[in-house]
Amino acid sequence: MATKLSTEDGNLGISTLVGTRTKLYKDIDITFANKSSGEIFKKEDAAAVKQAVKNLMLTNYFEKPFQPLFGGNLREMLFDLADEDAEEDIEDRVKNAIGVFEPRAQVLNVLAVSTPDRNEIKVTVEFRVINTQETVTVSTVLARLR
Amino acid sequence: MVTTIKSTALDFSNIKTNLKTHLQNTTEFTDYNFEASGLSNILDVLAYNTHINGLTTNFALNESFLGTAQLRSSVVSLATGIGYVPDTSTSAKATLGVTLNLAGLAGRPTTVSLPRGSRFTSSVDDVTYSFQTIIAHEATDDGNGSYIFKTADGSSAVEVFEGTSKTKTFLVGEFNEADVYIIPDETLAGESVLVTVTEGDTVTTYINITAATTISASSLIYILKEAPNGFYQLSFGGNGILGVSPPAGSSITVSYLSTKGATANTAKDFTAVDTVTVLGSARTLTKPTVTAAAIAGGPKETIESIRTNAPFQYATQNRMVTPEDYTAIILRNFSTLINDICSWGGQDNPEPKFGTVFSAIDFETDVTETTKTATKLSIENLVKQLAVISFNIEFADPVTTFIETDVFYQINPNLTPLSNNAITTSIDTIINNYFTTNLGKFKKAFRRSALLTLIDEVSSAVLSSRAIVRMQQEITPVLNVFNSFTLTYPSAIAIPAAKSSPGITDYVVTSGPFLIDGISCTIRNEQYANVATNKLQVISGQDGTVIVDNIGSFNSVTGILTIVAFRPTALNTGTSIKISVLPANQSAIAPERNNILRYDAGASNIVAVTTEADY
Repeated sequence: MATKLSTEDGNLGISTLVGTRTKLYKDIDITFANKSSGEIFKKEDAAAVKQAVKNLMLTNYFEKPFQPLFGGNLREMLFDLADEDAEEDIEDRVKNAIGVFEPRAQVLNVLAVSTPDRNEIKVTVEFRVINTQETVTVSTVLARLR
Repeated sequence: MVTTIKSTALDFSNIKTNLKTHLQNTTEFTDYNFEASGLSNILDVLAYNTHINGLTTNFALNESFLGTAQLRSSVVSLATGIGYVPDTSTSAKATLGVTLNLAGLAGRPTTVSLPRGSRFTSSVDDVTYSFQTIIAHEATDDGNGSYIFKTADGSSAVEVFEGTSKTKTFLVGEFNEADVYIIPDETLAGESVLVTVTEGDTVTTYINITAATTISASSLIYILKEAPNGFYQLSFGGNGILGVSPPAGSSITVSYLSTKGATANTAKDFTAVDTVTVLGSARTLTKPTVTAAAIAGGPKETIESIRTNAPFQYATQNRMVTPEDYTAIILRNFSTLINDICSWGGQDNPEPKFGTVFSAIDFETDVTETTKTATKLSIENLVKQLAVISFNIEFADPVTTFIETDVFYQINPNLTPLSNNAITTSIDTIINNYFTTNLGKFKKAFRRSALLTLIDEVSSAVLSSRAIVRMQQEITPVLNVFNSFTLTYPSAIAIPAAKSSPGITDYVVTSGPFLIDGISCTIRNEQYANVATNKLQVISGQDGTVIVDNIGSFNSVTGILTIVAFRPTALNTGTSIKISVLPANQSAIAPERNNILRYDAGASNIVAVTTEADY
């Protein structure tokens, strides 16, 4: 038996159900690397979310205009002792920031590993892009510039 | 659908929302709504830039108009642009009698000079201030060796000004019309500035452009105005139109007083610091007598004052044509002495007097009669210079009419933890504040409803209020002789209403007590059973009998009350008697011309009426 739709519902019958998320995440590449044509690259889907998570982690309080509490605010810990508490604190801050400001990412795991001899802390965030099964890992190294 | 940025929406979030709305209509990027995205960062930059540009433009526009500018430099600059020169700080000024006694000195000179800059000291609140003369004075031997220093016009009032004497010398290089000479002092007292130009052995004195009545290519004038940073800058015309500019190679000397302003006001005990050299020896001045204590010291003109006065000054164009011109120019020159001023044309006077402008000046309370007289003389001279037509100016003394109020308020004590006395005290404070804030100046009206509104707001326990209002003026009779008075009230007087058994509150006219031949009496309008007239009578306070049947009357329409052949033999207190009348309109009393309304707390009453009603 053929299914018929009313004229008001148009061509709903021929659209293909591809998933709950029909809109691609499309962001500008914040590194502003450009193609040979001169255009800048885009970040799409998981890459866009990955860029946003990294951006969020590296943003400090009072950097974003009129949103003073936006970001991971990791710089505030710059002169703290590099002990286990610091690692735990970083993990909490990252989880909290993503939970509040990045609704596209569901954090699976955050791992901060301190390397005192090299004056750096490596932070690895594992998250899943919401409404997909795709797991993404972002790693960044927090180190003094000088 | 908004696809463009609203230029009027300066708020950051509005701008960013507009940008997002624009991106919603494109498919190129979709992450604008996620605050951590790169696109959001770009939008932040764009919105912030637009926000800052918008604010900057907004500030710049605000600072472009006299009515909205916030920065002093902007207000001063805009006022200067329309020819208004804001007042500098003013030195406290005292008037002294200064003498030198050379009795017994052989070969004493006929005249002795007291130069500009002769110093005197005085203290206020244990702080010592330095005062000095800003013009030279001469004294002539009276034949006994006593020298009284006088001004060029023969006045023995030596004016001394508070401040520290400072001098700035500028060397004039090759002539440039744009040359301005900066005096880095924010407390310069403009009145004390003396500008001289020295070229070789010739010293020439220049005058301030604000004091010049005519200007030609050869005028010796200087322009002194406030610089954007609060200092002062001196310049000269020099273009062949606005006077002579100092020639190249000459030196400009600016002498002035740097003042401490109002803190030196009230200084009244002076001691001479400098001596006078006579026959090669220093001679000490006699301790000065004080004709008028120090007054009129003050800070620079405030921003709000400039904002108010500059347009009026511009409207007058430094010429006295309309009554408002008289007000504006008198205020410009004597603002530190004047609390308020009102001017009106003679045609608007109760007794028209054409060709005359009347000015009523309410001087500051610390201004002495001597200074008032001198100020009025100065104003008359100013009028001669600036009046376009040959108008006369006459001064009308301010007439103070006191307002008496009998306030009755209903109060439910259950609605407040405060006692009736505490509420009454609060209401008393409110009434005093109302009169202090809203009245006490020319053309300030009394509005009963405004007062009652304030009273009702004192407490939620005050359920309602009403007030009986009276206008009161005073007469000062000479005892044991016949006196006549004419009182003009600022509003129409109530028409007496006949009643079968009138009470004390039914009298339209009542007075304070006085004695006639030992009997305590008051003045009232005629009022008894079913009769009420405008005739005034002297009534015995003992038995209510009429002592003098007709001592005057009042005109309800014009508000003029006349008392004739009034002969009190003694007064209960003081030297004056209060004459109170009921106004025809209890709701509002709007004084005109030289009338000022003030509050007589002593003659007013506040009565609490207790009620159980709770709404």
